[in-house]
Amino acid sequence: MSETPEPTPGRRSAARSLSRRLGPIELVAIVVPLLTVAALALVRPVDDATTVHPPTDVALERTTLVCPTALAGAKTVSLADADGASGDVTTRLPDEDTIALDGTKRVGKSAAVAVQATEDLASGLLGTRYGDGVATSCRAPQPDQWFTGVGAAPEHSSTLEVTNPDGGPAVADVTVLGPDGPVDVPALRGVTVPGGRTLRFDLAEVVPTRDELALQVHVSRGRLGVDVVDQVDELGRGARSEDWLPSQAEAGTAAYLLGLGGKPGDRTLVLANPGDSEARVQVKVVTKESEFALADAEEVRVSPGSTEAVDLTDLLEGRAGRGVIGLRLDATLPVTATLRTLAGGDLSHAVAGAPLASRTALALPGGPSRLLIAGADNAGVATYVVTDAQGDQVADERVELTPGEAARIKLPSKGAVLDLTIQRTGAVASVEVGPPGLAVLPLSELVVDGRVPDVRPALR
Amino acid sequence: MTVTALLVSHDGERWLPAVLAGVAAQNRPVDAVVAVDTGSRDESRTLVEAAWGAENVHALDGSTTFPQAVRAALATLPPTSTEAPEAGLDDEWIWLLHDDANPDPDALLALTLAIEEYPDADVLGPKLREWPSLRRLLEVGLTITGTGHRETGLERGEYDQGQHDEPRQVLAVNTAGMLVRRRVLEELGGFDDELPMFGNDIDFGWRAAQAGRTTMVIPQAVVFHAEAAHRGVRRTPLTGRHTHFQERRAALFTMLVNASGRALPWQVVRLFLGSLLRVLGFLVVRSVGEALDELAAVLSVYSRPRAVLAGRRARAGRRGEASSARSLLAPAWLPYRHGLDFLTDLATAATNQASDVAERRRAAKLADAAPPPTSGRSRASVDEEEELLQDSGIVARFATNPVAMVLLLFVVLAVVAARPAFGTITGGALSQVPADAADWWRLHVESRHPLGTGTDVPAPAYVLPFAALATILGGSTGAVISSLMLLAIPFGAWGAWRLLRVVGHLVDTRDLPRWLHVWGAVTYGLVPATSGAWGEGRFGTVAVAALLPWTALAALGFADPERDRRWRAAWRTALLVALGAAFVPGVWLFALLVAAIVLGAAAFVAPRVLRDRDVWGPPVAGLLAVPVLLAPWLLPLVTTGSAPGLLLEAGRLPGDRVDFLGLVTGRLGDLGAPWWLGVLLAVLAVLALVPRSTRVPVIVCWLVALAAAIVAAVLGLVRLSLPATETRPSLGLFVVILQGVAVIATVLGAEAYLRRLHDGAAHPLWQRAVAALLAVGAAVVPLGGLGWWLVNQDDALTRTEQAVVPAYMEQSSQLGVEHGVLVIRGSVDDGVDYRVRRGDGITLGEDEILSLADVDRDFDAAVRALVSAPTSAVAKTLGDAGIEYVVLPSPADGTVAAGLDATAGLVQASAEDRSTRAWKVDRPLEAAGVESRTSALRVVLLVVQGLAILVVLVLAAPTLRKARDE
Repeated sequence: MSETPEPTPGRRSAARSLSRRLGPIELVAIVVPLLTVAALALVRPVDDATTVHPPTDVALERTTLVCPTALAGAKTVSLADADGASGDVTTRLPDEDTIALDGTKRVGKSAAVAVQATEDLASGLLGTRYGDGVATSCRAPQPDQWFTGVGAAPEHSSTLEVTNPDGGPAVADVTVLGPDGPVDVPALRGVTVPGGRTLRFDLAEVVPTRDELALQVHVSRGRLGVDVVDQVDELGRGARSEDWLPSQAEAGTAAYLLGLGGKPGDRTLVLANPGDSEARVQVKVVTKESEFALADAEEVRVSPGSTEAVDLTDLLEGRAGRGVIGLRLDATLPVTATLRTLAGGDLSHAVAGAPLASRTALALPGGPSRLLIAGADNAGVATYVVTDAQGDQVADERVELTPGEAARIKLPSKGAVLDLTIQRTGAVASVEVGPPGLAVLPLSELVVDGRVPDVRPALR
Repeated sequence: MTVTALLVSHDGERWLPAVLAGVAAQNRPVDAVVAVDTGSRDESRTLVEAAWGAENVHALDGSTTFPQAVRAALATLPPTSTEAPEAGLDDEWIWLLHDDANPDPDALLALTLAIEEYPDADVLGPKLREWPSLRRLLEVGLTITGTGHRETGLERGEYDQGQHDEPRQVLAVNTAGMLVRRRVLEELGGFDDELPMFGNDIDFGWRAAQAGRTTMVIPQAVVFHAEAAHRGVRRTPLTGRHTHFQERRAALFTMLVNASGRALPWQVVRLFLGSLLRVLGFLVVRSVGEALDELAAVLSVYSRPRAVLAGRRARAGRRGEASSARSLLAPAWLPYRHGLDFLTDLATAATNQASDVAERRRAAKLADAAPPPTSGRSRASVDEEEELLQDSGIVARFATNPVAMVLLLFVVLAVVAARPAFGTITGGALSQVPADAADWWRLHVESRHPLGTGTDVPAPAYVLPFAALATILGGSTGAVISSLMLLAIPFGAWGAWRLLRVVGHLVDTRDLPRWLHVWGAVTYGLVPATSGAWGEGRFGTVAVAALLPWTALAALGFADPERDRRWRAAWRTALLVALGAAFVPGVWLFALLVAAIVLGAAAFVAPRVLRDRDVWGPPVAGLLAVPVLLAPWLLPLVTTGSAPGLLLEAGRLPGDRVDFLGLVTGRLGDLGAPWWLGVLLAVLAVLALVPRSTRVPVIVCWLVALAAAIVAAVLGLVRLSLPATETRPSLGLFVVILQGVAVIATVLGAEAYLRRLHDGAAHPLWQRAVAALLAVGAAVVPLGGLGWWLVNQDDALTRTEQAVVPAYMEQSSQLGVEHGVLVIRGSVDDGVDYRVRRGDGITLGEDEILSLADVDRDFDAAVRALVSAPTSAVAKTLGDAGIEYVVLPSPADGTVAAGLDATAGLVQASAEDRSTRAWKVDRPLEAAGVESRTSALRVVLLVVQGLAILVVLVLAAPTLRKARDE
């Protein structure tokens, strides 16, 4: 019941008072709170449990490839396995069938083809439809893809083809971009494709316009093989040509459009900007030795949600165009791009290629072809192996890749499968096929692994 | 008029001399005497023979009943005159006396005078007063209630101040001192042999009334009655040791044989159920013997219907025309009034006893040492306060008491601030409630739950109190959560108020100012709100915060000087700790730790005290009873490998985000009150160490805080690996404990500061200024907290959860456990998680099960296959696991969706939202693995728990016996 002592005069008494104050009780009164706070300080904040659990890779279990309906003279579908594995693959379209695969198998089918391989064959199944100056890769159904530079006018028209390889219905939503912004096309909204069916949309019918368009095809239900056939009909001059327009997986800020062919011709670069702001695009040319901007080339401005067509015919003509194997685009915002070439009455497309990281492969159409590699971001090595239809190796080479430089390699005509491995760098590659005519096949990363997502019970 | 005194004696030598003297001293002497001695083993017979002459004393054996004895005595009298009563010869009276009933000298005179005044009266009884106290009233006439209760109409222990001195007609009078017309006695066949000892007076009176006879009580006649048999002072072969059995048996028999034919079926049922209820009542107050007697009595009567029927036949013959019995029975509402009184007594006793610890310790201390009382403040005002709180019916006194008004205002504001809890709430840690109380009961009873892929993890322990409360609230599960969230804070504040008062008394003989208690109660009461537990829907922490002060209050009972009360404290603590641990198991673990520390310290400081089993026994027993009370949860929790659940708290994950600052300032996360309010309290708790007078108790508080801090620090390092996530043990409990301890420390330490404010002149100005500053700072804590809570709208609670699956799937899933919905979220890149929705979704009480349930490897693999490479075999696996639909809520991963679209056995299903994808499993649905089951072990555990709760409830219940006997 004693009170706090009054201040007492004198040093000695103060000292005595201090010692009296600092008895064991007082010591405890000081130590216990300090210990308490110290113990509490050991409690660390909760570290947030990681919400991102990356998937694991396993050998691909099953692959489905969809090849589009044949164009005139392109009834052949070449099927192969990148690893040379043999076995049976099944076709689901146009009819249920089994194809024995040993080396490269060429089958003739006019209708759209869906091939399915499982287990060993799944990770390396390749397919290409080709013939008569046209070619396209058979690809696995993708949920999202872009087709830039499609037309809907008599002189330049395109046809969208969607194929459903499965039993259940699939739904595609097609967004159409034009020079003045998105175009509302009711016919392409929520396109339902019944199981096992192929639907074709002539854009000249569903969205007649002279403008250069871009399509984004989003598959919201099921799986769809999506292809676009592009056709040029120079009405007066009688030149009429068609070819498949390769797709681009997503818009990007840096793009290599490889495969201009050797001949001069009409060249139109079509850009699409799916973003909300204006994109500015710098166009450079890619030659074996270097990448450089042409003196006359101006920066291209692409309005948001719009397309922009640039005629590069003059720029790439004559000396300036000699040795050019592709274009390089540097954009301030992600864009998609296609360079359409009409050379000697033959239509071809160079589309922004997907960056390759390790390995790609292609079932080669017959005839002369060239491998184009560019866009190395580091000094690296590309190794290619070409085998013939029997699986025997007919060519192989190791190519040094250097940033700013490109490679153009002639492939043997009897080659059936190209297997390209990239090391220590990223790169973009395409294969030019022809003559006769020219077809460009952009190469994309070979999917050998299936991604198995991390699966766990939910927290709530 | 002749009056014959008829005395029945049995082992009554203690009273007989006085009784015989009393008879002899009558101012109106008796005309004749006759006595029956039923085999006394003492000097009774000799005493009576000496007084009344051997020829008037008849000895019978010890098994003679009272009715038989009376009949035998009557037989020895000369035959009654057979002439017509109207001739005036019907004037022969019998005055029944017991050997423990001593008549006042005027008793017989008053009775005989009454005969002249009320010539219609056939039975007259005196006023019975207690012997030997002579002052208290025992009976002034009798009646019987609908439940067979012997109703005297008197308060317990009422003093005779002439308040009942009006002669009146009654149903019956006691046989002790009864003056009855001999002819009537004989006509009615005397007393019923079925009622050997007790209750024959009421039966006789009832029969007399039914026969049209009049019974009157004449209060001017006084007889002092020792009630030797009733009180068990005298044991006879007839009463045995179970007087209660005999009394109840007699009451039931009386009710059944005398009830009217119409009322009989109702009475049969009512008395039976009523008796069972009384059995429970006796058990509640730990009167096991009486409970068994009660049970035996009802069984004894009901197993012999022939005796009842015979009795009814006998009575039927004698029934007169002008029966007044009905009007003389006790009113119908009376038993309910008694029941209400009983419950009130119980509640008062229950709320009073904890707070008495300090008083009793003080009393014990005073009795030991008897030092002069150092009175700072008069006890009277405190008592007044207490009385006021307990007896708040007195509106005027309540309204003029500022403390009561402030507390009332706080309660009102707290309910207003908690207004979102009116109606259903969910969000944060709080899941939606199930539709019905039955769902909680089922959850509690099941050993295997149809949740997810079926799991044996037990339901959390709080499901039982929730289910019970929901049942009481008419099956409304939402009302349980609403009442918890609305009332937890006032309830916690009330507990804190009570605790602070007792702690204040224990620590210091001087009483702390009551405003300090108000401050402490309000500050602590607000902890669930200011900590953010309320806003985060952490109902476990909220409930524990409300229970903690009551638990501490109960635990203070371990310091009671009385052995019995220490044991009672053990069971009360066990109940409260178990209830708290049902929400936050850490309560029990921390209680174990504190008990170990306290007992360890006691062993060190005062080893001799601990040698007494009744000192260390209660806390140990109380804490060991907790696992038994929680057995159906605890045991399976451990055996299913879900022991991490012991370190979690009620509610769904993720757990709290307490860090160092949160522990210091009492905040669970970001949804609490401003942190600086918490800092103020922490500073006050530190400053409480400064005043020397209260330093030791404040240090004790800090030691508790240190223990909590160390445990929190250790738990902070632990990581619990649950199937779905890795989490830290729940630390919300420690936030509450630290806040509570800080409040207690502050209240204890504030006394010295407050003195500086009160008698200002005695202290330097700066000290007064500091004290005033601290007082303002302290006031800011609860005011700021309450104000913040009132205006704060930022909480995690909503009315309804956002629907994840389309409505038609919800309906379909109600059809049965096999109609499950597999909900898969996430993407291939970031990982996916899944949950199975069955029945009415995942409701309150199921989160804890699911978060602890082991992953079903096969099902996990099936889901992995489903999202990577689905095949029709996977679809069959889903069907076998009782999955009807697969849902990918928006935004659905296109790759996964495409895979499912391509899978045979999965049919695309519609969803309201286009970006949500759904499939129906087109395969037969099975429920084999997920069906609800209840194992025999579970039943055993439930029975053990039920019995344990009953026993502990009974043991914890306050004592009423003493009060009843007084």
